[in-house]
Amino acid sequence: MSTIGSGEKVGRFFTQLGDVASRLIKRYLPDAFIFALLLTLLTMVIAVVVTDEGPVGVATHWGEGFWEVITFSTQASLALLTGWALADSPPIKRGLRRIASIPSSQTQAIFVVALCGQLFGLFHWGVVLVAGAILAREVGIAMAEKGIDVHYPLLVAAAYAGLLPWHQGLSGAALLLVATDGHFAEETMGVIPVSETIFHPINLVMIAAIVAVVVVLMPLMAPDRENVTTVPEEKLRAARGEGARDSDVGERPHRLRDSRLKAAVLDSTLVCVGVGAAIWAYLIYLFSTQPFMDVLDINVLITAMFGLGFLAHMSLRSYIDVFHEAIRGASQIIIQFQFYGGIMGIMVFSGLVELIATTAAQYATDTTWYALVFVSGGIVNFFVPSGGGQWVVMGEIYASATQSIEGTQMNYMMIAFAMGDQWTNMIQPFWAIPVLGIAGLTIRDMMGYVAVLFVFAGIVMGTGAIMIGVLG
Amino acid sequence: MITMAEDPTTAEDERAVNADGEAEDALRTAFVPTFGKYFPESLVGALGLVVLALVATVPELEPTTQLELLGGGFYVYDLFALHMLLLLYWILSAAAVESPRVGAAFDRLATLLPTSQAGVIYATAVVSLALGWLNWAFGLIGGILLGQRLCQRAHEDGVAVHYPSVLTGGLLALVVANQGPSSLGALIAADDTGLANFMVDDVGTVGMSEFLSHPANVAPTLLFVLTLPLLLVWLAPDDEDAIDSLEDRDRVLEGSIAETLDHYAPVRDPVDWEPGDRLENAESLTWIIVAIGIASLGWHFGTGGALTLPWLAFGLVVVGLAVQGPPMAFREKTEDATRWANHMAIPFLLYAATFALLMEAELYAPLGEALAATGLPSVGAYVVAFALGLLVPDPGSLWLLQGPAVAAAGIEEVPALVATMYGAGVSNLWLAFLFASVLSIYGFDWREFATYAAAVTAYVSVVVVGLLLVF
Repeated sequence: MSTIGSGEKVGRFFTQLGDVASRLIKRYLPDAFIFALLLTLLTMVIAVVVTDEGPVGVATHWGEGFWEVITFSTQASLALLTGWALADSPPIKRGLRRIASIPSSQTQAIFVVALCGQLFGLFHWGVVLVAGAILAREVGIAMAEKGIDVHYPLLVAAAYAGLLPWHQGLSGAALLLVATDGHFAEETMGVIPVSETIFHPINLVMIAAIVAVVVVLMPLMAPDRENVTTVPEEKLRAARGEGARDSDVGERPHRLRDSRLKAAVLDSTLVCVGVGAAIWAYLIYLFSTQPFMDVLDINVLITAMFGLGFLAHMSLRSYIDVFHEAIRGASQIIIQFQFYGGIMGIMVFSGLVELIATTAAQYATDTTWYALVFVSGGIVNFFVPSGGGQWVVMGEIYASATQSIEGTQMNYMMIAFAMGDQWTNMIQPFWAIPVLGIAGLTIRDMMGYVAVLFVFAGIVMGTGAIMIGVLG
Repeated sequence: MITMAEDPTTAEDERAVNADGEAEDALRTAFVPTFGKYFPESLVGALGLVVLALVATVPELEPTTQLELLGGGFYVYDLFALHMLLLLYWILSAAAVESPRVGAAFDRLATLLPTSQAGVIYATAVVSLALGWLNWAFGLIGGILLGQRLCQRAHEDGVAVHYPSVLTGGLLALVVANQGPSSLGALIAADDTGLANFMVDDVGTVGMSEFLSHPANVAPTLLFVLTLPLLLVWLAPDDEDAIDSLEDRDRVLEGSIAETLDHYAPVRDPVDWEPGDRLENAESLTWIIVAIGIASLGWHFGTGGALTLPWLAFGLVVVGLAVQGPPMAFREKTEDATRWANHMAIPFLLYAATFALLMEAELYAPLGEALAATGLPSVGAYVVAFALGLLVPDPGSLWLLQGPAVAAAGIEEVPALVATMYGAGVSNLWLAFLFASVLSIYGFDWREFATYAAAVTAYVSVVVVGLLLVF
């Protein structure tokens, strides 16, 4: 009896915590773009106050830095676009619908979405943003059709939480980058294979702990029935085939009719699958002649998903239509990434990043270094939410400091960095943009729940970073 | 007994059916759906090019290299930055134009322009060409909307105006959009950082002022701005029976241009705004960012910095923010404006593959030699760009594919760039149905459009080729 009572108390506590966080976020948090603008101003103020730069110098750094992450922003956009197109293909959607039909209560629904989100995130961050969001939407629709009330914003938050372990997973940008020959910090730290980072036992233990936090906490935050917001009506109508697609491109005047030849090409399975097969023929050759983990990087991942998209859609028409929707969904990455480039420009050119990293290194010992990397990585990620971009500006400093602090190891530093980077994604709305686009929600609907995760996952990861220092 | 003729309902139905049939016929022969019926989509065009490149490089490259470049040419040759900048060029240009503030400026301009048929056609075409020279979006979107506004005013004045000529005038921006300060080829070639300029190590740069002031560029552009509108006025019918007015299906304007472009409404009523809503709609925040942006631009150009594709895109961000007002309006418009980039966003991956295959096989040298062997390489560059442009709507991507061959031909760079950009512009006029379609315009009879496009192509080609031979 007392066990049930304390279980209920815990549940009640997390429900109220979720409600309070959600209310606060709804009231005070603006859209992610405005957040980026405010962050730009905040960074400028901090740079003027704590560095030797004046206001004009800082303003010029903004323009100089605007394109600092353009290469990575394109890679990120392409990963999202190709991931989106793949996730929105008939066979993948069929699989997602099958999963969506499994749960039969609110708790089960949130648990299933949270668990799948974690798996997607560990596979690829682009897939979690797209497939996770689509899964949340499909589960929301399936539950509404079954007449079971499920709090849709929490469902979407559970999917978005897939980003919490992403940097420690297969698509971890910095971990893949340092595994690539010729990476920019190779002279300082050498090439570190993924067996020493992604597949290292310490990393795997930390992943398990993070996944456990998410799949336990998210269902516990389910609100009471009177506070439940179910899936939006337009999503339900669209699911029943009563609404329009998100993109009206098929209705545009130039696509009203097709000649026979055009239709034959656009609808040909042979052409579409042939292109996908040709792309994959090289990838199969690559993976069969070289160790998989040595050649896997973000570019190969984009190519793989681009090719898989052709194979999964089986007609160019279907692929083209989905891409048109995907580009709209990716628009804010295309635009806002550059603003984060500007922020990065201010931070890098004014010496702010160096100041943060060197301050962390100055007070570090071999025991505390990983915890400081985790915290400083988390702080910088708040301003520069691109994991790979953040590594570009901080990597050299972290690598040099690791080299100079006796008893520390590069691969542990990389794991701590990855944890810090992914941690503050839970309070940084940037990556939620495509998820919200698919789910049809605003950042204010969802962010409160993941902010709670930020606190609890932070405790777990921070403890883990300290333990690496103590035991390592 | 009630006969069929006496049955008013049946007669009305018949008339309605006839009217529907005529409307359907008109729709079927309209140039946007008709040309679209045969256009294979940009992605298919890009696939066609890459297949050609695969076949052409069989003797030179190992099959594994070919397949590697097919799926990964974009990263093997590090074309990420160019890809992103081209995407932003289309999106941000549209976002800088499609706002109530710019719409109000066009409305004001419309009140100053004449409403006779000749006046409407000439004014629309001149504005479209002049603004199109500055930036495609100002000329194309602005020109089409201005033309419709002038047609509206003429209708109110009881003047019949031939809408096909007006719409063609609005589309003329495409012809000169690559000859001015936002010419994609020139902006890429001017970039000395290598961010956008994929040939910076091999060929170097071409200064924007050199491009803009070259006689082969200045002379035809000026001539076209003044005389192409006259050509359209001349081609327009005078007979009232032959005049086709603006039809409802093509009417883009909902009230004034400013009202049509007024796309943003806050989610909540201002009285219910929470602090988050206030921030989303704070124009003061926009103006602070715009001021910082202007300071940054001022510093760059004040210290002798060049106008390049990255700096133009940065400038468009600042202009877009300023004209959209509330920061959320800019955010929403940039999402909506992605529809202008659909024609190149994904096909670029395959353009990059084609470029990579030709580069890796070192086929650009023989292609350049073939161009030089014609004896008229600049003219050849114009013709090739026109033909290639029919498959590649994005002039920046076209420069990626053709630029190395032009460079390998060993000809003077600026006239070759001018020629290539004119070829891209004229081919874009033939692809105008793609751009009109984005605005949900069906257009007029395809035969009439083909006549106008052929006349413009012939005139532009004669002038450009003639001047290229002289300069």
